[in-house]
Amino acid sequence: MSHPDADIFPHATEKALETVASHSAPQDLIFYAGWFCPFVQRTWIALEEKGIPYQYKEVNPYHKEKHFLGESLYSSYINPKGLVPAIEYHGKPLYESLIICEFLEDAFPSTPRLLPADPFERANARLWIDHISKAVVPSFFRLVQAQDPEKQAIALEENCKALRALAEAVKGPYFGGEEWGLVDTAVVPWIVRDYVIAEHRGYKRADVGGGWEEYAKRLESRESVLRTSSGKKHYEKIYGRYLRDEAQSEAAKATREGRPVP
Amino acid sequence: MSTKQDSGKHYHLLCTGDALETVKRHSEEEDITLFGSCFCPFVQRVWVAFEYLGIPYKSNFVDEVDPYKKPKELLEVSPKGLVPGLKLHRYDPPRALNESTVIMEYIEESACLATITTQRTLLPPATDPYARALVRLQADHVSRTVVPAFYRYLQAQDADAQIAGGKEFHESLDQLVGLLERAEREAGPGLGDGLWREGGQLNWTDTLVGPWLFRAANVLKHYCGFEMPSGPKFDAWVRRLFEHPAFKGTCSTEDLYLDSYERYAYNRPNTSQVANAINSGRGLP
Repeated sequence: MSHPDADIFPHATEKALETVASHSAPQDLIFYAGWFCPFVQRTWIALEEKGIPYQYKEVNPYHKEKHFLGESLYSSYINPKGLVPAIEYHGKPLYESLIICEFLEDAFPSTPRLLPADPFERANARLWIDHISKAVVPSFFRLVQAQDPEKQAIALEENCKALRALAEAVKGPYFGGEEWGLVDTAVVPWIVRDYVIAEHRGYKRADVGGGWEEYAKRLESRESVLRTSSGKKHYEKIYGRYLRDEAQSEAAKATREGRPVP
Repeated sequence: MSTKQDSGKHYHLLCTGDALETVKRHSEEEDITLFGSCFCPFVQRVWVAFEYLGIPYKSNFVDEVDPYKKPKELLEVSPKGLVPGLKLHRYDPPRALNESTVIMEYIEESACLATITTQRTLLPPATDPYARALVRLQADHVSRTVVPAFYRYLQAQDADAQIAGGKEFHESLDQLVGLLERAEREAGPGLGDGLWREGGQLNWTDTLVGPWLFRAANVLKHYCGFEMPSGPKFDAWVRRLFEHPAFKGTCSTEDLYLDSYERYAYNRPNTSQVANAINSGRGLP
């Protein structure tokens, strides 16, 4: 039986498509992506911000091509979970969006830094990335997938509370101050997708408070974000499934079952 | 399955055994105060890291479980009232950190700058980014899969849930072993590669998972009839970990854990924020 999400539109569109086109030549770093995936977009933004050469390869995680799940140069798995994003650098595979971002920090030390140099400021950034992973992202998925109006109301309140806390920690203009960083990278894919909860779940950026609306607008207009975003048209089929709680992605299933998002 | 009854045992407030000796050795004022509790595995992670890296600290172990008793000084450091928490007195005003992995990264990075340390490292160096990434993948698996599976198993009350819980916990350990083997194969011996390899050093993953392996060996065994997975390599790894001075020095006697975890085993209401999260199907706080 073919996976219901297997008929997703097969490639990026609009600005993202241009970026894909200009990253089709073989490189030391192969970036396995799904054009629609918010976790992918984190890593994609990091690659763009750091100016690291990469070869973009579209993978539909629900088709799970053999090389992607199985054999590779070193007969190890690129990603046994079959999830995107993943990279292969000099044939060595890695997965998990934030772990890849940290790897890029370590492996390309002469590119723009996404984390501050001071250990305490780094710890602070990591605390807020943890907050994004534990509070912002799960409440977003819960809100989208909630069917019951009461559950939607609870999820909306949780989401706003999580966003307001983050907003209040922002130094400005970006989270860490003048420079774009990993905290901004970690949250922005959900900012560019918040029109879904605005149109269908009663979310309003203005209701969050704490400076969220300005911060969100600033982040979504960043060049690396624009370059990695596709047109809204083909998202509709995807998020429609989430809104009806029919989506079969690992993130959707985890949310439904009350598990951490993989 | 166990036919034991909930005998109403309470969590301990004071360490015992080796852990108590370590607490006594760290009762003087220092640049860093570590807020913890004597049975908490998240605290133990950070505690082991402090001991291994040789960073001076003052231990302040509090009653962090009773929501009516959480000390003000803990809440100032950790707004959610969770341990571990760090208070950094070198700043004016003092600064705070929480979250076990965040604290560990901070002290690891600060250790490189400090002079009074053992010059050790828990993570592979930044000059080996791939080895670091593989260790982070192991850590991610521990925190997101092994740890929640431990609590789901322990807190399961009916027989079906207990069987499923045991299976899930076992699988999570199998997967961890897979990741350890992969790192051994692909990254080779080096700094920060862990006790999995004979001749290796205590590392990030050992520190992150050790407290739950330790509690699996006593608490899960006692309350769930859990049998630790066995095999020559696994047994050797666990033994090296439990006997490592930095780890052993943070362990109390077995009775402390059996008493403190009874409330999880019988899933008493409001046992802790962790237990509540598991019961409500949420991610851990």
